[in-house]
Parts: sequence; C-alpha cells; structure tokens
Amino acid sequence: MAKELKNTICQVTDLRMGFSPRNQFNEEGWSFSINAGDLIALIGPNGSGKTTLLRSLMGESTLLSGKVYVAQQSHSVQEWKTREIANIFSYLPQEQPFEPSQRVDGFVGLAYVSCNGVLGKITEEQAELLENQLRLFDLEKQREKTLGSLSTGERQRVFLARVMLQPSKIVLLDEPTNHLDPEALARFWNALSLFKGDKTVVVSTHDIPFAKKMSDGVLALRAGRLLFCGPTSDFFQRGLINDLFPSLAT
Amino acid sequence: MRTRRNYFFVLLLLSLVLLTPFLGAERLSLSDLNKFDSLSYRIFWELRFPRWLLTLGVGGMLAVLGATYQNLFRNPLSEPYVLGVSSAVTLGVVLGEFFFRQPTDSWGSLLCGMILALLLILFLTWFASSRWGSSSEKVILFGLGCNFVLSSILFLVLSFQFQSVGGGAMRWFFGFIPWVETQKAIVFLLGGVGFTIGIGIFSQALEALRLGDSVARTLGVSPQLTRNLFLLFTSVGVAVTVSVSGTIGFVGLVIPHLCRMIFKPSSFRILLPQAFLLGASFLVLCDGLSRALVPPFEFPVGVMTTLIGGPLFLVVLWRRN
Repeated sequence: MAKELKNTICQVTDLRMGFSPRNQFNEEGWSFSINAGDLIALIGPNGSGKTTLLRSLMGESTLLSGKVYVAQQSHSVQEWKTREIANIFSYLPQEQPFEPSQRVDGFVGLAYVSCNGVLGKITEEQAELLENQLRLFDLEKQREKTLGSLSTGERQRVFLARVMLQPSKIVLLDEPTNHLDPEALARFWNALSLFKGDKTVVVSTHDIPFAKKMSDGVLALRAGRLLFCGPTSDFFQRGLINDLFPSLAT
Repeated sequence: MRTRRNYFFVLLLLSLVLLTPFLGAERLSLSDLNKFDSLSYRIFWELRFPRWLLTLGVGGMLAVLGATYQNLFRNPLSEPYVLGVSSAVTLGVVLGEFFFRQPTDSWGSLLCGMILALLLILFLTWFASSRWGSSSEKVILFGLGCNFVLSSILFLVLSFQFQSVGGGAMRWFFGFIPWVETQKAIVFLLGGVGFTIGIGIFSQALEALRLGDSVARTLGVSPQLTRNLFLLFTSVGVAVTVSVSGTIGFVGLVIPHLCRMIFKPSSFRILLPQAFLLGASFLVLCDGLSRALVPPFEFPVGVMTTLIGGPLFLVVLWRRN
C-alpha cells in the first residue's frame, strides 16, 4: 500500500507522561507514528495535553515510560544531546518570549544559530534564504522595525518565519494561530502548506476547518487519551470531531 | 535626519566627557598642565586623570552588566543593583573589613564580595527555577526583596563601624569613585573593554536564551549550562566593579534602554559597545557634576546618577509606550 511506502520520521511507543505514578497525565500508553513530510494537526480541548505531547516529542517533558524514536536514531529522544535536538527540531511555543527592542531581521536570523553555532556568522547563502523567507512571510517592509513596535499578528508572522527558516526536519508549533485575524489565518495555513513534503510539521490548533482542509494527518487528544491518529480524511469521515467538540456537531 | 541628530548628540557628549577632568574645586591653569611639578600638573595628571579613567571603566561596566542581566533574566528591569547583587558585593566587602580586617581595596575583600554575590545569584536562580518563580516579574520582586534585606544588614554593620572607624563608610551606600593610581585605572578600563568583548563574542547564546529555554535548546544552546556560565562570568564582573565603586544605581538600568531608544541597535552585539560608551560618558558627567556643583564639597556620584537617572528612566518609560 502506498501509505506504508512513506517514511516514518517519528515512532512513539507506550508514551506515558507525568512526574510520578501518582501524578501521571495519561494512564494508558500512547503509541503512534508520524510520516516524514506530513502536516499533522494536533487537536483536542484545552488541557487535553497538546503542549505536553509536543514537548515530549522533543524530549523535554518528564516521561514515566515510553520511547520516542526520531529520524532513524537508535536512542530515544530523551537521551539526545542539545546538539542533536537542534539538528532535527525547531519549536514555537504558545507564548514566545522576545526582546521588544530586537529587530525583525535579527530575530529571524537567529534560526541559523542552530547550525552555525553560537560563534558562527550567517553565510551568504543563508542571507539569501533569509531574504526569501522575509518575502514569503510578507515582512520585507518590517525588516528594520523592532518586535515591540509590531502588531500581534505581524509579530506572530515573524516568529513563524524564524521557526520555518531553521534547517530542521521536524517543526513543532504550539497554537501558533491564537492571535490571528481570519485573513492572517488563511495566509498562515497557506504558508504552512508550502513546506509540505520538505518538513514534517506538527501543529496544535483549534482551527478545525483549516485543519480539515490543509492537514495530512490528525492527532486527536481528549482527557488524557489518544483518541485518534491517522489520515485527516478518516478522522472526519468517522465523525470523531463530534466526540472532541460536541458543540460543533450540527 | 535621525543620523545627523545622533552624530550631533555623540559629538556633544564626547566634548563634555573630555571637558570633565577640568571641572573641580581647584581651578587649573592650562599653560601649567605640561609643566612638571606645578600644582595644576599634579592635580590634573595624578588626581583627576586616573579618576576620570576609572570612572569611564566603572560606568561602562555597569551599563554592559545591566544590558546582560536584562537578557539573562528576560526582564527590562533586571540589573545587578535592582536584584541586590551589588548590595551583596558591598556587604561582603564591608563584612570582610569588619570581621577579617581585610582592607577594602584588597583581593581578600574582593573575594568576600564575590562569594556573597555568588550566594545571592545561586539563591535567585534556585528561586527562578522553582515553581514559585514562574514569571520573570516574580524573580525581580524576589531580588528586590533581597536587596532591601541586604541593604538593611549593610546599614546595621555600617552604623557599628561609624562608632569605631568613623566616616568614609557611607560611601559604600551611595557609590563613590575612589582615587587609584593611573596604572590601576588603565588596567580596570582595559578589563572592562575585555569583559564587554567577551560578552559580545557569546552574544548569540544570550539572544537564543532570551527566546525561552525550550527554543534555546532547539537552537543548540544548552539553557542550564549557558545561563550558569553567564551568571558566573557576570558575577565576577559585578564583584570587581562594585568592590571598586560601591553600589551605584540606575546606570545599568537606564543606559541600555536609552541606547536602544537613541541608536536602535540591530542586535545585542551592537548594543554592547554602545552601552559601554554611553554608560562611561554618563558616569563621567555625573562625577563631574558632583564635583562642580557646590565646590569644594563633593557628593557621592551614586546620588548624582540616581538624581539624573531616575527622571531619565521615567522619560524612557514614557517613550516606550
């Protein structure tokens, strides 16, 4: 089958998150895999564990059990060094801290710290890619402005430009569309779909219509349970969305 | 337009900075300045010039340390003075004098100051990583609380000392530029420049850390290690600076913001030298004013920086909105 010919980039087995057996997030272990190059929508009600899952995919959350194998590495992501993490992952948290006086181009350029190192400088080739990225995210006019002087939506575009520019294989985005107006929302999803096939993107989101239209796969969480993991079309055909958000059912 | 105004500003500042050694209780005769053994010669080259150099170094260091702390603690208000690190150093130096009879300009007193500063930093970082220190505001408030407590202990120790030694001790409270030999002043100034270059070389690590620990990790910057190294390095910087000058407030707080407002640096690496130069100029001007305002009386430069820095801070706040 064509589906199985796709490369798996992330294989999760028996994942149980939490600090101690008494204080565990999900009782039954989660197992799923993610195909390389897919755009995955991570959906679920508030508090269903989207952020915790994203953070355990990059080896940040404390795990009670389970392994996360990424990109054909022989050891689980929890045991990775910072260097290895930086080669594979880029991440945009729900609330991105930033220095208000930092300039847009400088901020986006920080993406290359991941491969050049702290002491490195941006190469000519990278500078060109940076230019393209600013153009792609419609930030050319804002490049010399400071982050503090931008509107929330513009700033979100800057954050996204940074995280997508980073030469990583897997991009983890935590509710990146929270502050966007409908226009910006559409542009955001269009921009994301441009990276399909190139990067694997896991995006936690509440934009169900866009997730339905744009994503390749769905990871659905509810109250500490992994409700569904598979192709987007299956998820919506089986009407599982109504289990997650009953008020959406019509 | 903007750049021309900036040039004018820099030129004005530079000429004022160059003029300050001529300010003071004693009027100097310019023609005597190159006459060996004349009174003017000795006052200028043996008293005012080394003090001027040292003030440049102290001011630059304070501004660079402030800028670094603001990135390190992810808060525009953090500064060694506000967080109580300066008070910890001062208390260490004064306690060293009180209990171990270490003269205040010795390596021993510097060590005492550094130990207390590191203890406070450890305490602060422990608080910041605990579940109570979830936001940077709380860390600032916590540091402010430490500052109050340390200052009161310092005051207590100093009031004991007043009865035995008398005078002079209050300078620690307000900050004061002491007299040193020219060589020492040059060494301090060069050390300050080296310190700034050192921070500048690793500035991208600081910028990555500013984006939060998780993002820093995905940029290949190990958050714990990097933060601890920076804290250690800056603590040494604070200890050396404060053990020379006492607690001088507002330079580290105001100057980096003022730099961002005036020069709009494109990155932290460019901000650092600007902050050093503006901080150095600011402190030299404050020192000149503190000598020239009501001669022959000299008041502590820390009083002057607070008097000017306070309103400046309000202006910066006003403009930021």
